[in-house]
Amino acid sequence: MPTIIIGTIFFVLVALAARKTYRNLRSNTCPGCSAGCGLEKREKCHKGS
Amino acid sequence: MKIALAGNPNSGKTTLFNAITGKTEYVGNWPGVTVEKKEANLKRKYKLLAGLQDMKEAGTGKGDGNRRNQVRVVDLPGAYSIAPYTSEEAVTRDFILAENPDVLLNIVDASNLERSLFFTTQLLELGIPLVVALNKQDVLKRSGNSIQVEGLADALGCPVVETRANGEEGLDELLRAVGQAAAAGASGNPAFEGRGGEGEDKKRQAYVKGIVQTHLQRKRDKTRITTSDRIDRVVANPFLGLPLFGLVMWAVYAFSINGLGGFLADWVNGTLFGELVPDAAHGFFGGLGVHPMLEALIVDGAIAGVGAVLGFLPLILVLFFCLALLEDSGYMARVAVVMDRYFKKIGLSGKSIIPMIVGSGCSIPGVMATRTIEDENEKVATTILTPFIPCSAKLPIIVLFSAVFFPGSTWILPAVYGIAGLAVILGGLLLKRIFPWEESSTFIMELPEYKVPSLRHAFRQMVHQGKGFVVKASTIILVMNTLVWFMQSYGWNLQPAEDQGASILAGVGGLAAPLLLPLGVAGWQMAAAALTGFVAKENVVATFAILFATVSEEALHAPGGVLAENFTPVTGFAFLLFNLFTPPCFAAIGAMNAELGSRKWLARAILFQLAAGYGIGILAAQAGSLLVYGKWAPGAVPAGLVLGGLAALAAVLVQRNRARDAQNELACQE
Repeated sequence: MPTIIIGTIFFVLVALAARKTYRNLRSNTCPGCSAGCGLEKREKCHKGS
Repeated sequence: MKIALAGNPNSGKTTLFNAITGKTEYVGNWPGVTVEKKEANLKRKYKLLAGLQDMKEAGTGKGDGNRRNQVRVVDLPGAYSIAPYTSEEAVTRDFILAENPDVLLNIVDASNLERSLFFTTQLLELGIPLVVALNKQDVLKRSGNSIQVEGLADALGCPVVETRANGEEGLDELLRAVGQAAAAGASGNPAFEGRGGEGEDKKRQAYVKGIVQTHLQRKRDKTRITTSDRIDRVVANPFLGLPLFGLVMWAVYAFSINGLGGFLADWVNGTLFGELVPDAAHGFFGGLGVHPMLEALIVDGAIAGVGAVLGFLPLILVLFFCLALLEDSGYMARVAVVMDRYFKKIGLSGKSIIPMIVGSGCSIPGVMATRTIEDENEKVATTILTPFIPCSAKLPIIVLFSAVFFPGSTWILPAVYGIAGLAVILGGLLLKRIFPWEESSTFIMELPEYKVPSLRHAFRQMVHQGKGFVVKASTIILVMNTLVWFMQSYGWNLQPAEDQGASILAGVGGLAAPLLLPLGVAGWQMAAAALTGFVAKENVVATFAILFATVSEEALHAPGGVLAENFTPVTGFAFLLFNLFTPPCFAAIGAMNAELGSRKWLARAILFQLAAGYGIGILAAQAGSLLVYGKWAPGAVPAGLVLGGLAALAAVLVQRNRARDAQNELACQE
């Protein structure tokens, strides 16, 4: 039982971290970095232009 | 409701933005730090002072109550005119014209009134309620000049409030004026009548000059030599400037890495993440009876990897505290001037140094800061060369290799930055010869007055950088470490691997390992670490921690520790350089893509960085081994082949560019 609880908590944390990382990378920045592609350019960035 | 902060570059907009929103956005004492708009909610205290709470609650009706109560503050990039010249000025123009903010808060540098009011008179003509914050009162007072505020407000036809954003002075009155302007909904009453006519700019300049002459009382003789001028004679001297910069940076890095920062980092690495946290975690999970595999994943994978990166946090904090003090004093702006004469020779200008200094924190804002460069060639070259400057993510790799192979030395970090500077210079020269190039543009920069740096500002910048480092460690690094631990523990059959050599990671690393042979480096572990570094550079250290620090974290950092079994000091240094100069992390490559605006140029940039990192690493390994040990490093033959290939490729590209130039010249003559 402790393995299931601890495992669930750990993998949920990793999943959240992965989600944040993915979203940040999509907008050309990285987690924790205050810069990156701003709102104006995000659409353009996603199209890869 | 939206309040937009607009004004000239380096007038203190972001400092004011941080003060009234509680944010800690990056601030620098030079023009062009903000290149994107930033938004945040106005602090409750100021919302109440401005009376904006009631006004919004009285607003519309159903469903939009919460949003309606928000007062958003938008920090816009600096602009000299409503007609944009650079891309970040266009951000400001577009926002003001398209988004129609409720109030414009125009930040005016009181110590530079004439230049600032040109933009103010243009903003007044937009018909948006406007309040002028007459900022940098401390600088104005030090200069001995004074401004008749009431007279200026009458002349402009809008409220004018004296502020000192970095000391949070005058902000209550400013926000009250903003509240009143929003309630009145009235715009200023522009008295300038030459709008739209011929020679508008000249007429506007004359109009502004008239206002300034009436309301600015100069007590200082403009020709008098100030203390700033005297300091500049030494600091910005064409010959003394560069060695002095080297000396200052050496002192900063020595203090950060070998002084206080190093001392604290040793404790965090050795004691906190080396003993206390793993012991406590093992005790906790053992007591609960958690499965050993899960315990190993969390302790030896996640905690070891994230801990190996977080161990460098004290060092990062001390370093960025010192750099923020230097920036705030106005010294870094002088560095741009000093570098201009050197950068001009390689097809860049002093403007390129700003992205590079910003890039020493993180390559992403560094690459973004290239937007302030008007000349397209310079912008492209600066975007490609900025990631050569080691960012905070690369610091852990430098410090780790320095601690293992060159313990106690204070020259490694300055040497690495020196090599980075050399790579920028040689890279610039090569880019200029490989691709079609015009002459570099003229660099004009307004130098801020020297001032005693603010400890509060430095502290905030330090916290900002530190927070970013921790967030990165707990997200992208955590994910990668979990993946790396899984890959080094399991085989391709998804069964636990009997030893690391039979793991998935060994298989992947083994494919890339031959590429490291010319660097004198053998082993799939090194290749795996370098590969994970492309996702985020800190991963190089974290991967080593997972793969090698199986006994203790201390073993990884100890002089002559586990890493010394896989590298000689020279090949270790070469591997370090390879990681520093090959393409930056994925996010920085994304930022490069956005700034270059062309897949073709992005591909060229990545190939150029790959060739540069590989070439520098190979040269360091082979030439270094020959010099230090009197023999080539392992892999000398493939190294020679790779270096020969790279040289031949460069020669072909240079020749092709020359032929193209000659053809163009011929076409022009015809």
